[in-house]
Amino acid sequence: MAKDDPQTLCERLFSTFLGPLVVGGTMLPGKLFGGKGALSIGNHRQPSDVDLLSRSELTRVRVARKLAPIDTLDQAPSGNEWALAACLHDLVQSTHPGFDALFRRSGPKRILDVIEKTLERIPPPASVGDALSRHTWFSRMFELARTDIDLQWWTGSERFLGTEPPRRLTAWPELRRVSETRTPRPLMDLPSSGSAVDVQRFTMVTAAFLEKTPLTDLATVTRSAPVFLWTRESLALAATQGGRTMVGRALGLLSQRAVDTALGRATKQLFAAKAVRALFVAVDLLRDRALMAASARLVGKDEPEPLAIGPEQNDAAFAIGAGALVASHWIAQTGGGFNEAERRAILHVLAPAAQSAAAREVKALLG
Amino acid sequence: MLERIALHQTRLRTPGLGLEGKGVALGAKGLVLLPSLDRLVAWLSVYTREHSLEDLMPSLVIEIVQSKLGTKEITLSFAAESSDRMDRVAETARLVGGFTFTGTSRHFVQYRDAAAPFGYDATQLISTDAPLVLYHDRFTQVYATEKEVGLRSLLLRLMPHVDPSTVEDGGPRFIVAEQGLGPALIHYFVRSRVEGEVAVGEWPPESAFDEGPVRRYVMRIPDLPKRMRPLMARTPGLTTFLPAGPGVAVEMGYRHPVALRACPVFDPNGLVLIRGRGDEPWTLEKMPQMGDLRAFARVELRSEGGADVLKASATRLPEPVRVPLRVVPSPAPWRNVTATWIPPQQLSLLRRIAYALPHQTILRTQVALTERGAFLRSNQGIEAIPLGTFFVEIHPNLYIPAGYDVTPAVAPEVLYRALGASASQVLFINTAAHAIAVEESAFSPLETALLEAQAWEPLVAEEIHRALEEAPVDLKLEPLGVFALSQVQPPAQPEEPQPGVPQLPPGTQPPR
Repeated sequence: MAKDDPQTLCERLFSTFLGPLVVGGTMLPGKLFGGKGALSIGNHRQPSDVDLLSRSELTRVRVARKLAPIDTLDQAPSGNEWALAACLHDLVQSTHPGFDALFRRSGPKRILDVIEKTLERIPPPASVGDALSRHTWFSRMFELARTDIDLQWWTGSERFLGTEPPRRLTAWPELRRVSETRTPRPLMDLPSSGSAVDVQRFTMVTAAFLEKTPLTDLATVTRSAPVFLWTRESLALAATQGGRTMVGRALGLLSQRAVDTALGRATKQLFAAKAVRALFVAVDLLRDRALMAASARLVGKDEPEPLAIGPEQNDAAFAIGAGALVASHWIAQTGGGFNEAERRAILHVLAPAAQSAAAREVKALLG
Repeated sequence: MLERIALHQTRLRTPGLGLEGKGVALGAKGLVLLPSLDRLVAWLSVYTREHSLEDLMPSLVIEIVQSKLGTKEITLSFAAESSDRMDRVAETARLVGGFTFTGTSRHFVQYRDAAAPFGYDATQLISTDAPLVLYHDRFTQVYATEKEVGLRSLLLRLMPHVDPSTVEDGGPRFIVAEQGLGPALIHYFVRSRVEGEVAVGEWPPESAFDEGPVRRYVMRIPDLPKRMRPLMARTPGLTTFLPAGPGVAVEMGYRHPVALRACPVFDPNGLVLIRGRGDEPWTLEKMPQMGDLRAFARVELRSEGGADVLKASATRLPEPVRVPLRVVPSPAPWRNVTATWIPPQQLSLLRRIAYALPHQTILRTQVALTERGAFLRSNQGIEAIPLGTFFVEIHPNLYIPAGYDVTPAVAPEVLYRALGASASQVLFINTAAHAIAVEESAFSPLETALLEAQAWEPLVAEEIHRALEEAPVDLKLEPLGVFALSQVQPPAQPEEPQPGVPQLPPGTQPPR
């Protein structure tokens, strides 16, 4: 069988998968790319659909501007981004119901193996800008959803997974008492809905994919699966000032309680593993979040409301308490760039959280 | 010989000396004794810097006096009138080393000073026929008058000081050109559009060998352009003078030691031109008739080959001579930029910028939408909307592009009339000299246009809506096909181990 040349692969990947992933619309994944195909596209490859490319750039800039004040991005994906897009394409295709058939059930496993090996060949982002660029391509990966249709008529029923039912089944809807139930299935629900792929393995490969785009990993920290864990790449991003700022802004767009829960859970695991250097990075992020929360309470108020957490020992309380404790120490030692009145007010706001049971637990863990 | 006058003293010995209202001893005259001519000039220079000599002039007499010992000194006498005037004169005299006296005819006593606030009186008068006897606490001296010195002649004899800074002074100027240079200079001024007047002055021949009177052109230039000042200062044959008072001017590059403006000794109807380098002044007893420079511009006649007059061959009205209107770039600064013409291609930008415009700008801007684009007008200036071609209103309802001018340079009223537009039309002339008329009624407030959502406005909302919407990512599936896994192959192994890829930041290697 003749192999497609890289430009053909690039055109197909962009028009059917990557473009719709960015700007929305119908995503129609096709033939699998495999590891060789994913890596063969390479740098400086640009699709010919200039209109879609331009619209995707506009959308990406809009995504980027939520996190950083930039106006331009590279219009076409880099080689690594093409490879990541191909991996995500294959990851989605691994959930295709067509594999749930005789002689085909091993297909998803093989696909996931190849994806894992391909991801190992893709380096982590080389800079904060690179991380941001990857995020603009894949920020909506958990938004892609397949619409499953349950169709019932007077004599029977049938389920259509990601396809439209034929007209003959929906004809004369009143006479034949046709009822149609549409259920959207997001990415992480696809393995459990008519697919032959192993859910656990699919989740692991998805987590491996997220390692390659750490800003997306952190910007979707509240997702149910794969559960957020601190990785080398996400810690590396959060360790830089610019990266931490962007992460802070990305987390600011989410539900704060859910963010605190996710970060608290992940940071606890670092404590458990006694990963000291990684802890410093994670705790710095929690400190910044605590300072942001305290500063927000100071605006326009003479008597700001203290940052109180309940007596419960959950992950969110852990994150808030750890952040408040470290922030209080940091302000006491360095001043933090605040004037005397601000310092006093921030310490007043942080005091209840910094003296909570969760903070005491953190203090004990820090030794 | 002198004694101080005490408070409430009423009797004085010096003849002609009395007590004025303040109790100060004062005669009918005041007198300043100055040791030399340069001190006199210094006194005049200092006094005229702050005060005018106008009130002193009727009674001012400058004389050279000689003492019995033969020393010559200078006296300056004037009507005393009041102790205020005497105080001013005495103060200036003290500064330049002179002595001030007061008296009436012959005997003059020292004027008051800090030691004697009410003045002095002579205890013993000298019996003499000399015309002037001065009593001072340090000396008593008898003087004979040698000769009188006229202030005007003194001022004319004083040589001006070199002062190059006057070249840069603004204001009117007199330019005296030698006879041969006059016409060329007049032509130069006319060509350079320098306004002024010109007269021809006649001076008697400097020696018997001269053929006749010396004629020079005298020009009065109200505002000589800055670029011409060095030329006028350095060109031989041209002498430039700066007016220093009514009827007197001093050569440019020099300054007279006395403020001539304070010395009303020159006839305002005449002209005295004081020259530097020790040259004698040029004097015109009566300013000759001056004519406009343009009247003396070079005149050229047609060749005599043609007819003198071309007679009209018919009695009907001749066809008007018309030249096409041109719009040319102009270096003049932009003024009254109150309109802009936005072509259709830039309307999308106007839509976008409309959201950023402040309320006041929207409020006072009017817009007319045509097939050639949008015309915006604002009486307060249109610069707040940085789009399109800016227009300047040169006449009510007549606009030309900013930075351009129309040629031939006819008056805006003439141009407006020639375009023949009605009063209800607003005319825009573009850079190609093509005029476009827009009905006045077509202009509506921009605010209303935005609110009423005219034909082009809904496009804004639609575009923005389309640009901002995020369509859901709808995954559709197609059949996998027969050889679905044919391309699913792991990547080729790298030929050599890849070098370490930079991390964020370098060195952060947390355990996983």
